[in-house]
Amino acid sequence: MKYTIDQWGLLIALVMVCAAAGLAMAMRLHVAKNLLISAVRSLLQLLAMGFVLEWVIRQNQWVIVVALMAVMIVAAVQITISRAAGIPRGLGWPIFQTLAITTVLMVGLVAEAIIRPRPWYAPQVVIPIAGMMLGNIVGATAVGLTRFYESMKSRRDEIEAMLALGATAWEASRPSVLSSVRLGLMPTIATLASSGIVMIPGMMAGQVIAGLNPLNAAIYQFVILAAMASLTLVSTALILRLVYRTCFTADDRYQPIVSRETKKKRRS
Amino acid sequence: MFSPHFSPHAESLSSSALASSPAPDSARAPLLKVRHATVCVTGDDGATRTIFSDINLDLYPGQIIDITGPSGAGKSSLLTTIACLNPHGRAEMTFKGKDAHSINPHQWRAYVSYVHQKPILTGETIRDALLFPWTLSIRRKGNKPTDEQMRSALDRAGLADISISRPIADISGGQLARVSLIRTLLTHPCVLLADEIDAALDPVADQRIEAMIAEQAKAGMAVVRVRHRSLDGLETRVLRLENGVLSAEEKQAKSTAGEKRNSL
Repeated sequence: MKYTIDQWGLLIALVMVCAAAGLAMAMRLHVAKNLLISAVRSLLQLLAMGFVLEWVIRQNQWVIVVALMAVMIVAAVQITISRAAGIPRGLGWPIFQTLAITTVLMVGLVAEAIIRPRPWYAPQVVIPIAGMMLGNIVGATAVGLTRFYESMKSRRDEIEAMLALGATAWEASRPSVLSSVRLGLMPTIATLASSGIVMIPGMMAGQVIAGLNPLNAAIYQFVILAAMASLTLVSTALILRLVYRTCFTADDRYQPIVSRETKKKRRS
Repeated sequence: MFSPHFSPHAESLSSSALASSPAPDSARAPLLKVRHATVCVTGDDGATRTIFSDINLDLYPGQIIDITGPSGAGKSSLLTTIACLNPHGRAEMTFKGKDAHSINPHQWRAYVSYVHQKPILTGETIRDALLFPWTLSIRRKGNKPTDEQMRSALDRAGLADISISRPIADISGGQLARVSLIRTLLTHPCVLLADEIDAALDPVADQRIEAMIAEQAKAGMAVVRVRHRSLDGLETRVLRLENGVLSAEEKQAKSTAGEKRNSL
């Protein structure tokens, strides 16, 4: 039995968003406009992804699957940069490396080693997994980067004292790196611990609605959550390892960064 | 107490007799030679401002040099430039005749140690804070100071009532400043750059820690101090940094300092 949503269902969802926006306007929350724009944007982006995915599944060619993943990673880099606050310019390349490495690891481990689809590039398996992974690490990476640069700024005196005693740039950054990785990982750990008690995670819910065996859906969901938790740790650790030197000169002198926001202000 | 990393220090010990009276600048090679020290900073408006340029300084073992000058003249910037910590500072330097570029920056900072204006301790207890330098890779193979050595240093600094297992969160600003200086002194740097470490101290505590510095200077350490208070008579030379120029203070200043010290 398959339950699909018809145009009336879609309409009800849109009416709900409009009602929420109206309520927000009445409460003078100043989020009504944002809410509507975001809702429309989300609908269009999801529909577009649906069309693209349908087409990619029909084509069933590995070149197209890999190309779509590359486009997703590039878009994710852009989203990470816009979400992180107080970071310097020029982090695009290290963020791209981080997202690319973790996505390849995720697809390699979860799709190829655990699910083992035939053919290996089966788009209906590989693309959703890459997408879920990117959604999670974009958040963790943005939080980790924001916290790292904040911490390096507030620890300035401590860092200078450590360097004066002969610490390397890495030794002086380590406390900030550790606290940022911890913070970036926290939502994922919380999801891991709470899933199944009050919350049925999206993937399991989807599979159950689609008529699959709930136990199988649960196992599937656990595999995804476990892989995501470990790879989120890998991604935040990796990005901070790649960027911590931006706070130092080549000979390990502490140098406060100029954030993207300040640079923009200065230019205007 | 000397760790194997600081073997060059032994050389300076042997030459300490020469050092106690400041040698004429041409007589022998200085411990630390600073040439063309320059600091340029870029302000918020994007304009570049030169704090000072082309400052030269020679330091001999056992010397204590005080640098005076109006606030904002760049005294701290000069010290952090010499310690290879200032991102806007450039200087050609040699340490015992070796070019600064041939020494890695972490080793340089272990030889030429800067003590901050704002004391910051790390770890949970005083012991953690004092042993922090030995958690770093450059000293990992060196000999840590023992509890007795830490105890005796704290006692001499007037911190006899502070146990080494006391949490660092519990101590006052003046105690913090002294522990921070002891942390550096225990590493036995060859050059000590002390930046207004007397700012948070009462006169008695100040005298005690300056005496500890002078004692290590007698054993061959060279010292540059920027002091918050007036001169205390321990200095071998006084230099004044003003309008980007480092020059010798007039003789008179030193004799008044001597009188001041006697009147204390």
